[in-house]
Formats: sequence, structure tokens, C-alpha cells
Amino acid sequence: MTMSRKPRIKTGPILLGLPAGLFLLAFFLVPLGYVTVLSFSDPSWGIANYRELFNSRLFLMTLGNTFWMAAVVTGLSLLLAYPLAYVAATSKGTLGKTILMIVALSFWTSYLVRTYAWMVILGVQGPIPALVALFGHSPPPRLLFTSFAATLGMTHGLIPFMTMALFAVMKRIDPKLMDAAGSLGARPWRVFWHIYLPLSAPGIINGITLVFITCLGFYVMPVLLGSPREQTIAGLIGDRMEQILDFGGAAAMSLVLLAASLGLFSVYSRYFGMDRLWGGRI
Amino acid sequence: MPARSLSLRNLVKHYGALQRAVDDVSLDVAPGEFITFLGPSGSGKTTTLMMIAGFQEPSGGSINVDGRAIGHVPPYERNIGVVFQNYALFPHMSVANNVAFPLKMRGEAKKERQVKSLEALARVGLGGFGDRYPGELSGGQQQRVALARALVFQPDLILLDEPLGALDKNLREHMQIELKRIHREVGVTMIYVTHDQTEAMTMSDRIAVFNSGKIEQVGTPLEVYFRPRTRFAASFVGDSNLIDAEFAKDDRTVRVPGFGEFTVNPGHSKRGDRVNLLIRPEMIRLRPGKSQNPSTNACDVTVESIVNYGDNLLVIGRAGERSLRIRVPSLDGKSLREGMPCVAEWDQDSIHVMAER
Ligand SMILES: Nc1ncnc2c1ncn2[C@@H]1O[C@H](COP(=O)(O)OP(=O)(O)O)[C@@H](O)[C@H]1O
Ligand SMILES: [Mg+2]
Repeated sequence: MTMSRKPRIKTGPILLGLPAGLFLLAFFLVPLGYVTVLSFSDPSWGIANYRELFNSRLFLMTLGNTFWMAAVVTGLSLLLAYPLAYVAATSKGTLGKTILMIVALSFWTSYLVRTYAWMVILGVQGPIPALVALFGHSPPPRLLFTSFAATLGMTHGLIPFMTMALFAVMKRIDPKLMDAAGSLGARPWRVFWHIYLPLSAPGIINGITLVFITCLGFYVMPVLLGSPREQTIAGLIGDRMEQILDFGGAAAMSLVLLAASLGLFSVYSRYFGMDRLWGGRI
Repeated sequence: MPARSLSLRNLVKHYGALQRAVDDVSLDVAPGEFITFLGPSGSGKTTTLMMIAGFQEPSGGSINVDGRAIGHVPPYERNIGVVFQNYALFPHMSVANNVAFPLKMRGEAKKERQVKSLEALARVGLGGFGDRYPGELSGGQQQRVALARALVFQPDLILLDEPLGALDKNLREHMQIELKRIHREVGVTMIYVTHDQTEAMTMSDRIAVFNSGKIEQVGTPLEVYFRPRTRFAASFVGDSNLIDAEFAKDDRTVRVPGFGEFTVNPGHSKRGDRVNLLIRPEMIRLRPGKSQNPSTNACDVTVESIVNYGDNLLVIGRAGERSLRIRVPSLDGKSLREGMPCVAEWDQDSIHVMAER
């Protein structure tokens, strides 16, 4: 996927893109513009909202916590999804299809449903605390409403995305390359290290970017499963609006989050040049 | 490079319960030999090769290199170079790193790796291409890199699975010559798979003709061409007239329904044996007119069609129910016209008798 030359745009595609374009304009760009204006104008014109944010220990800690949690969730999903995607991409029989089916099912289940499921599983009356108590831990540990629960829930929620990002790239790796490496004297783990891992790297980068950015703005799971003392930015924004009615401050926070995501995305676009580096063949 | 021998004994591979992809293949390959597996698609050539390389576990039989059984040795310990049809170059490594890869896996020092991979690239005519990536090379160049990568670690054998299949005709012929040159220079034992009989004829020391998982015949190109052992081998290699016949009175006269009687060289056949006769189209002479004194190794035909190949003509001659394929040099055939009555004749030596199977 080289992006070196810009395709000449004809008028037909522009017309086809018109409805979606108008929709985006009306329901995305205009509100975004409104939020931007709000962040500089409510309650008074100026950058007071931003100055307050960067002077607030709570905000900075929450920002740090959000990034940390996103990093942990991303790392965990990668560790768990990589073997899953590998088996799905390389197995010949029905196993691969079954894995994909389960991943897709998980896609189609709403976050809210999965969140409540975790609340039941981790709750005081739930099976996990009961199990831990069985091994002599008493009183049963508090699992729900902790960062642990939020991390667990988010990892569970985002593994399908990571799996799909990895699978899409792994499926295109020619299995003959592994045979070739073997015949050239590479033991299985070296085949993996020198051939498979680098060739699946674009999938890893796609997956990491996708999951990390999604994590930064995640609302439902951190709020419902997480600890009120270690909030994420999304939760903080919600509180600002619902409890203090400070729309200007909330808008400023949203824009800081957006800027962080865009910054990450620009790093990602630079990595996109990777397959160009390999002469466009994977 | 030290050349090794290869010996296959009763090699069998089945997928599932019934189908035998390779069915009792035995073969001895001499050190330094260039042997070709020739056969139609699905005849078991690749499967045999993959068992030698170690990518497939044999269901039965044994594989020996210089007398050492390697049937259960993993591929990374076999020291066998493989060249795949689609090259299988590592797209994320430069050409030089591709070629140095097997040396790296063998723990050779960086300096050593550089020297050897440059040497191997020069041998295949790609000196100066080391910094490119596979994606930046043409098909023919990629094939050369694959060959250099298979040569560089001094393998015991080199296996090539239809390596020129994806190239166009001119490049193919060029690469055939190159490959033979490299084989001569390096002297390594090579096993070459193709379904192209011309390629097999021009390149091989010996050809193994594969059909439905079995080897029908092993022999030099000329043996396979002029003395095929089976009807299949005769029809797969070169153009042919295959005629079923029966020994009529003695061991040198066969009766061919529709043609009359032919005289053949005496062999092991006796009266009543049913056989297949092979007459290569270029062994038949054609002249306009009718036969005066009916001799046995000739017959009257009518020219049914003429196909011009430039240097020669393919004439289909009809004799009643039967037809004969006849190759005539273009100059000799200038006067031939469709519908013309002609005499087709051949030497007794040109008839090859095969037991019917
Ligand atoms: N992995 C496989 N699973 C099942 N059948 C196979 C497999 N590979 C090859 N075959 C079958 O084995 C037979 C021989 O195949 P192959 O060795 O590839 O033939 P060739 O290389 O001569 O074209 C074919 O009938 C093919 O369908
Ligand atoms: Mg094949």
C-alpha cells in the first residue's frame, strides 16, 4: 500500500462521497468546532481552562493513569491475541475458522453486556472471589471497582480488535517462507524470530495503535468496573459535565485527549512506510 | 563442492486413507548428477521432493544421502538446498541478507558471510545487487537469488521445484542454460522438477518419468525418447504415434488393424502378444503418390491437415479409420496440399515395441 502518488480524483467519486461528507460535516466537524470554541470561551474567553488543567494534579495524574492503563491493556491484548491470531492464520482445518467465529461473536456482543458480565463475575458474590476465598484468602479480595477489573474488562473487550489486526497481516505471510527458512538451517524458534515476527510486525503496529487509541477514550468499562480513585480521562470528562456542569473544562480535557490521540496517530502514519521499505511485498 | 548420492527406497506418502500421492518410489541418484522428475500435474513430483527436503513425513520407505538415513531428520539438519517455484525469498531482508541467512543460521562470522554471499551472488550473475530488496527485482533475478541462497552453504543436494515455471519463454531458455552452467561449475547433485518435457530433455543427465505417484521409467533423455518403457512415457515425452498391434505369425511381424502388417526388429515377443508400437512423427517420410509394390513398412495416406511450425510441418495423414502424425522439414513439404494422396514410409528400426500394460 504505497501512498507515494496521489490518485487523480474525478467528480464521480466526489458525488458518491457527498452524503457521507455532509453527514460528517453536520454531526462531527460542527460539534467538534463547537467543543473547541467552548473550551476557549466557557465561562470566559481565553486559555484559562487549559491553564487550569495543566495546573491540576488530579488531571495530570488521571492523564498519566489513562496512558498507563492503555499501555498495559495494549500489552496484554498483544500477548494474548498474538498466539490466537497465529493459530487462526496458520491452521488448515476447522480450528482457524472456529477461532475467527468466536472472535467475531465477541465483536457482536455489546460492551455493556460484557461489562455487566464482568461485574457479575468479579462482584463480591461472584465466582472469582469465591474461588480465591477457597484457597484461604479471607475475607475475599475486592476485585470489582479496581483498576485491575477495568484493565481486565478492557483487555477482554479489545482482544478481538488486536486479533483481527494481526490476523489480517499474518494471513498474507507465505507459509513457504517458513519452509524455506527451515531448509536453510533455521530451527523453529529462529524461523519465528527472524522471519515470522518481522513479517507480522505491520500487524503488531496496526493492532497496538488501534487498541491504544481506543483505550485512551474508553468510557463504559473504566467507569463501571474501575476504581473511582484512579479514574481515566473519559471518566473525568463525564464527571466534569454531569457533576460540576463545567462544560468549558470538559471541552478542554476532550481536546487534550484528542491531541494526544492525533499525536500517536501521526507516529503510526510514519510507521506505515514500513511495507514500502520492503518493496511493497509481504 | 563434495557431491553426494541420494537413494530412495519404496517411498510412500498417503494423504487420508485411500489416496497415494507417492506410491512406492525407488530411485538411485549418482553424486553430481542432474536428474529431472518429469510428469503431469498431480503425479507426485512435489510430494516426493518435499519428503526429500523434510517438509513432509514419508508414510513409508527410506531416504538416504550417501548411505545415511535422513527420513526422520528435521529439515534444518538436512543440509539440503531448496529452490521454490515462487522463489520464497524473505521480503524484509536485502538480497545479501537473504543469501547470507543460511550462513548466519550456521553461526558463521559476519566477515565470512559477506565474502561467501558476494561470491554466490557473483556466480549467479547478480554481483552488485546485494543491497536491493527482493521486491525490487524481476522474476528471473529473484530466481537467481533463490539459487544463490541454496548454493551458498554447500548443500549435499539442491532440489528445484518447477523453478522456471513463472518465467516467460525467452527468459526460461536463458535460465536453463545458466542453471546447467552453474551445475557444471559447482558439481552439486541436483534434483529438478518440471512438467515441461522439452526442459527435461535439454537439461537432464537422467529423467524419472512420474505418473500417478509412480516412476514409470528412469533413463537418459535419449533412452526415454527412443525407448520408452510404457505407453504413458512415450506419449508424455515428445510427439508420438502410438499404435496397438498384435504379433501375427513370428517375432518380427505385427498386424495392425486398418494398416496391414509391419515388420519390426525381433525382440522377446511371440505370436499372439498384444503390444503398443511407437513411431516418432519425424521418423516417417512422406512423398506424394501411391505405393507401387505394397511393402510392409509403408502405407497410403491422404493429407488431412498441415500445421506450419516454421522449421517443420506437422502433417496429419489419414488412412481409413486411423491417422498418423508426420513431421516433415518445411522445405521438403512445400508441395504438399490438403487432400493429396501420399505414401508414408519408415525404417524397421524406427518402430519401438512396448509390451501392452
Ligand atoms: N497437502 C495435501 N493434502 C492432500 N492431498 C495432497 C496434498 N498435497 C498434494 N496432494 C495430492 O497428492 C497428489 C500429488 O501431488 P503433487 O506431489 O503436488 O504433484 P505434482 O507436484 O506432480 O503436481 C495430487 O493428487 C495432490 O492432489
Ligand atoms: Mg508440483
